[in-house]
Amino acid sequence: MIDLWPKEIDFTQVKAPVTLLKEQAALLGQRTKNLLEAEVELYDGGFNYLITNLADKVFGKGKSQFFHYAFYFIAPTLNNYHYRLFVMSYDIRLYPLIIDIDDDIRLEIQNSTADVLVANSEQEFVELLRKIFNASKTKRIMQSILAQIQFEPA
Amino acid sequence: MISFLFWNLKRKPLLEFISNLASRYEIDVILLAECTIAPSVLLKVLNRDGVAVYHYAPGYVSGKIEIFTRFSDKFLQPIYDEDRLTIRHLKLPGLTDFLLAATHVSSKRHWRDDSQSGATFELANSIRLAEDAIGHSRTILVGDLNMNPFETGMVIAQGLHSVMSRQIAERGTRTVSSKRYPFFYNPMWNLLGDATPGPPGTYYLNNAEPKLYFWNIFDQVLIRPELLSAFSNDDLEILTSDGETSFLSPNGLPNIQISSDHLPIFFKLSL
Repeated sequence: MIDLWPKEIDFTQVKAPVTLLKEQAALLGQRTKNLLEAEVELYDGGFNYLITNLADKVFGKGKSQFFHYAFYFIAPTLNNYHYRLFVMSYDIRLYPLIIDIDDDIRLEIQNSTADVLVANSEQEFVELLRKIFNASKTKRIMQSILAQIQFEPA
Repeated sequence: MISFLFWNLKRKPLLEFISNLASRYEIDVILLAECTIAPSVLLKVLNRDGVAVYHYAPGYVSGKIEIFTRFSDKFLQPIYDEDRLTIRHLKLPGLTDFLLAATHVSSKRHWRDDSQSGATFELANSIRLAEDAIGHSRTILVGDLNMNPFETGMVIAQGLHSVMSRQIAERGTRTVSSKRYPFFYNPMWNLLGDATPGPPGTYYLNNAEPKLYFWNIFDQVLIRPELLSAFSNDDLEILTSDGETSFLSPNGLPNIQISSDHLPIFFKLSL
């Protein structure tokens, strides 16, 4: 039988955005002794019209299947309290990707009228994540949850 | 019986009105949107007549909805938050527990109709996730949806899937394209227009657009079928006065000189 597959198949070079995100999620627990964790889960919220309306502009016409992931803060000791920080969407090409996030955080990071944040490459995505995690409101959210955890009786 | 008040204050310090409403209607759970009143200030006013009855139920993260309760906030456990939605587990001793979801959807000034519809997709998903986590679907959703009961996001299966008929809601779910979607019952349909007592809506808007409803019902409560036995349409009202002062001007429109441009809604659950 003839093997028709290309010689250049390489499964390891490209990191999917969800992989990068899950790596960061894992690091948060280590920083907070697992009092405050982060989780990335497939998002089944239906195709948000907001994202649909932007899809042509960001992804171009002839778009294929989309992948949606939600990023949550989780407090296991507070009855597994969840706070959804953002939803990320991209298609089979991985980039560009869209992040749909709290208005306050979005405006702090990007002073424009665009309704979502966009990253066109892995480098841009990493930089965007850095800005999101270090935004004032993100820090306030984490501090609020941690303060509550420390307040709860053992 | 647990009584609820929801009001979008439009960033106005309506302390006396809130206090009077709380007292007149014996409100157990006060939910406020666009509330710029410091919780400590409102608590002092709510609790000024002797016994400190009201508690502030802040949740873990400051959000768009402020909640005050006539019982300890320990009985209103936060279980989920996102920017414009908070979901609490209300578990009072001796009473059936349920989920109280409160939201303030972006207004039409900032979001187009289809964007608002998209927001309801996310709302519906977040509520379903919380219901899966808690193990039941005894949920009410209350808030300023910034949509009328008949708008797409309110009715579409993937959105809030809310219906005007209790009988239809009691079917529980509907299957669309092989996927099951749970219903909400939306009693606010019954309050549209001027054929029923009370104002024709909760929010009045008159501008130069060709398509104009004038009166809208943006402030709504939706009930899951599993909780419908605890709800009577007779216990739902759009409030126009705190018993002393009318929130309406002489022409019957919200009096924005002294009050919010939204009217408050009041409802009860018999658990």
